[in-house]
Amino acid sequence: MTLAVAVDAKMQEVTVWTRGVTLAKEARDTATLLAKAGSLEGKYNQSFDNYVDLPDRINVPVKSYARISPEPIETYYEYENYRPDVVVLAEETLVKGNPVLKGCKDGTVVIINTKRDINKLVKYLSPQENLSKVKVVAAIDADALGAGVFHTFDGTEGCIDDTKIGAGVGAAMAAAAAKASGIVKLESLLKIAENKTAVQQGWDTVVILPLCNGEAGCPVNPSRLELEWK
Amino acid sequence: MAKVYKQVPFAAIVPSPQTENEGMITGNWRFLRPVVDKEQCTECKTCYIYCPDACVNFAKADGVSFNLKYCKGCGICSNVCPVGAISRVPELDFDE
Repeated sequence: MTLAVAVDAKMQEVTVWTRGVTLAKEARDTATLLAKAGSLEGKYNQSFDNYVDLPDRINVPVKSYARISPEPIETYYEYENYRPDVVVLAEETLVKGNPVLKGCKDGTVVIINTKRDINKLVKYLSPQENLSKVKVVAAIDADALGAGVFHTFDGTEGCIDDTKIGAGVGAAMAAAAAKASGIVKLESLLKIAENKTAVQQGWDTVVILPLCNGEAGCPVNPSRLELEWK
Repeated sequence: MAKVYKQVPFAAIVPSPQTENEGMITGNWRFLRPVVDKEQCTECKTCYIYCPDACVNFAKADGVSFNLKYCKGCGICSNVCPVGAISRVPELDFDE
């Protein structure tokens, strides 16, 4: 049940799915980088985590959020992004068993941190009826680009962590999200992220695959996708 | 005593024993799936004893199986297996 207290027509919402504890900081970095980059460009922003999803449990699917708008954001009282424009998956297995496309708008951009064949991952995206709203799916091998805090079972991560924002894989994921969606500019990300090399390489190496020939909302033809993506 | 039990409101009663709870499926926590080599498995049931989520099942005739709706992929079963019959395979290597 979505309770729309305020409707910001021009607001763009970013939802970053991640794994509790092991990758939580990287997703928080991705959301924070995008939001702060938006503020450098004179936009209004919010960035926060979801604490409903039991984030203190290792590997539980959790979300981080960012909101960017050219106008003042009046959505204060919704603590989740119910209508995401950009969906980032910080770990590839999240495509299975998680409703990552729930509530997405027409023209949604999906970014997956993976080095696998993305043709095989798209069929797992759920709910499947929202797949027709996805404009592009982008693949980025962020694990190879940023020496991130990955699979450390350190429960204090994020609390006393003194690594800077965007020191790990979050930098590459933010750059991939920015290039695939156009939500912020590369120059803005480079000013904020600690690992500028990962940002630049993430921008350069992201593979952007139009889902449905670049048109939002048209029906998906899987046979055509097979041809286009090979 | 039975009379008092019947006076308890229906909503306050949790059916027991309860092996599965549809409201708390934890299979999507997993990114490595346990796979058993049936030829090596001696059915010693060590994995059954150690599994914290009671996901290991010996009820079927074909030996050990896992309840993947609740398996978090923690890897305890593969760690405690005395003959090394349980390996951990990336979840996306499987279609289902």
